[in-house]
Amino acid sequence: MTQPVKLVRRLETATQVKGLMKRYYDGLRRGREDDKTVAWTYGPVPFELLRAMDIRFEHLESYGAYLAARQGQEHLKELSNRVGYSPDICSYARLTQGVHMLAESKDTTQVRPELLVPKPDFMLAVTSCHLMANTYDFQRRALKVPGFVIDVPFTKSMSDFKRSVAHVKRQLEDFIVFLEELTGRPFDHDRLREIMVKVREAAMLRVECMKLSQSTPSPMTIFDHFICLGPMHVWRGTTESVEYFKALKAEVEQRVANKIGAVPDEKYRLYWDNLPIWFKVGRLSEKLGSAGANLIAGIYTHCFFYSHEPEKIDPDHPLDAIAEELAYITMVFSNVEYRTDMIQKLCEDYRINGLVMHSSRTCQPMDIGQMDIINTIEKRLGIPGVVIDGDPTDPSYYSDAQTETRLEAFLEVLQARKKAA
Amino acid sequence: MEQIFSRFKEIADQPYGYLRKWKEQNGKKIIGCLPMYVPEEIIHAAGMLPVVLQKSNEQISLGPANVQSYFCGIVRSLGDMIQENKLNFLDGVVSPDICLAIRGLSNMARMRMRDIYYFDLLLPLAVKNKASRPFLRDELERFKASLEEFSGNKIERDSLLRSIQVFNENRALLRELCDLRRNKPGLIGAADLSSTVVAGMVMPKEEHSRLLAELLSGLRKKEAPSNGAVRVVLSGSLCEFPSRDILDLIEDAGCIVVDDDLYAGGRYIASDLGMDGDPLEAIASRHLDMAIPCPTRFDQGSDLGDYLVNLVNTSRAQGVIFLIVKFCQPHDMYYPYLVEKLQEAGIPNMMIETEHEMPSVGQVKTRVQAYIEMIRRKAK
Repeated sequence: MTQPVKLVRRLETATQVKGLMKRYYDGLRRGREDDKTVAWTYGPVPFELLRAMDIRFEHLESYGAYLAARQGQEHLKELSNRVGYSPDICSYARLTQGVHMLAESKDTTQVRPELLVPKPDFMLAVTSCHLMANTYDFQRRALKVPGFVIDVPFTKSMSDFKRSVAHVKRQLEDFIVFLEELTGRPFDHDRLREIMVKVREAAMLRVECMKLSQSTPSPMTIFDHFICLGPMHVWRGTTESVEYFKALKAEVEQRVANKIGAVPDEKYRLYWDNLPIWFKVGRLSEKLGSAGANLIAGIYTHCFFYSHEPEKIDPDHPLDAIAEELAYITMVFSNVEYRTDMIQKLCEDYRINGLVMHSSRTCQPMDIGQMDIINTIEKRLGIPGVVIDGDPTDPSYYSDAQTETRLEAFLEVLQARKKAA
Repeated sequence: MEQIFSRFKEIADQPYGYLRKWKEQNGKKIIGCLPMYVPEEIIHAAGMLPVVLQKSNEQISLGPANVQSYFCGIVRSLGDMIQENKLNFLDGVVSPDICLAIRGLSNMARMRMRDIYYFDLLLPLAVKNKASRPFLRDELERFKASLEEFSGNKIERDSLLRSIQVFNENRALLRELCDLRRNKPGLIGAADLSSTVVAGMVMPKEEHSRLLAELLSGLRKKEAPSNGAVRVVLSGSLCEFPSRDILDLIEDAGCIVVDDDLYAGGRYIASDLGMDGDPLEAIASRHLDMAIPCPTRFDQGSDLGDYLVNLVNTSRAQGVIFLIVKFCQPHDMYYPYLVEKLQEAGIPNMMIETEHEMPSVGQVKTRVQAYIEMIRRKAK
């Protein structure tokens, strides 16, 4: 049987991510042999500080995405079901529970090696994601290792935001003391400065790629942007991440110069809300691509992880930049109005024709208010939206037929609007 | 006594009907507090009525339009009421940092009830962090100032202490009710006790305490019927009041509830505030050193599993029945751990998942009966 020809043009550079992620996880697995401190992390934690202390860290959501895209997640969720975890719980949390159980199991001869990570010396969480912090709390009690959880308040206003930044910064200082006590080494502030220089460089390159993808036709899909979060997280602050985004930018520039779109014959430019459905990325983009639709912007990819004014990162004041980013992510999560304004801005900058809102129990802060967002954007910009049900890693909450029927109907609406215009 | 219980039941079942009427008669401002940890004492000291918002027993009509079906009952129910303008009689809403679902709901309250007072109370989740105490202290100061501005009443130390006293007294009376239930199993039904606590979350504490004192003077003289029922502790049901049907079903099947860690029970009345020293500091400590560990906080230094085992032992209960609210993710996350703890301690336990629309109580009843049989066999 011959492979069907893929419509959507994947970026050459994005295919490097697989190798980069594998290399990262191989390094993590060798953590013990290489005599490194190993940490498990939950939520968008300050990876910069860990890297400055040469700590090998597992980022459990990145790992979840990595495994889900390789169909490796089922085994882990089965394990979590077995100990009584409800299937209603966030699927990243369930998967993470599986990682924990495997790391504790005595006989691993039958386990796929990529599902195994070494047990941690300590754990780190942020409260931006309540459920991942819950997972941290549960696993810390089970593993009995030291831990630190950074409290990031659910702010909804600018004045609260400023207090939140100060609160987070104070905790980062305390966390540095925690790291020094744990490792018995002084914190390497010079190294942190170098890391922040690279964080800024990579983040600026990433933002430039986003700007380039505003062109018509758009050279990238949202899934290219999502895949970039891998290097953005686990390789944050390294030469690898800077090199990756440089190569990506060069390729995207090339596409723009030659007017090559990620989707042939681009007709509709769509916004994607919430996390991706990792196990359907290919099928969904092909489905949309066949109708000339491309998903090109989203909150997760375009508004988080130093994508907001990265040029302002001051390597001489690293903790300010890190605290601001953490508080910022949490504010975007917490404040539907602010989020609506950001989506409006994305719609304008990227000349979006429609909103696709992925509704999923795995990222609750993005859920309540999705209909309000659709209605507000429709009112302000005359752009329609559709809600589809899914989950980033759990296929039992997803139906091909239902989603595709909804998307087809939505594309008809878009077509009718285009004709009317 | 029956009259007082039925008055409490009436208020707990129809809190919003009661409050609308109360407002007409008293003309005072009512501040709705989203569960669970708003320091109501400060609102009281500003001369307003603090009320813990409850879900309604009505069907959810707007359904998943804005609050998806995979959210818990109280969030869906309150979301419905907000969208239907049923809470517009409130003068304000205070939203504490509890969980992701309540965080989403508070957005809805803020956006759809624009002309009323709104306050986000940023309660630390990592309660033992060094930075959390000064942050919370600051937050309470800001909350107080904001309430002063809204109410037009200055909150002096003395007025705050007077309010704290009103609340301490009310908690002491409710704790006596719990003690009576523990010491005379069967004297007070689980549904009556929960309704009593919920009525206290809704009505003015002074009025609630007056009725409660009267109730207690009658109950103290009464003896409990000894009918050989199995003694159990209820655990769970954060934020929302477990349905009377479920509580009655458990007791009709042959159990007696002797204690609980429910929000509409032991959790709400767990700690008093000190009358000397700085009242806001005392309020901060109550949150940071929570008497009953809560699944929504992290690194608390105390353990809900240990607490539960201890509760079973001190109340001489024979088992635990978990009431887990469907889609309460923080509690779902904790549940396997609690089961493990109880198993280690040799305490039988079962779980009932409660939903806003309970489909078949018959099945639940059969399961409770089987559970009781198991405990009885074990006792022999």
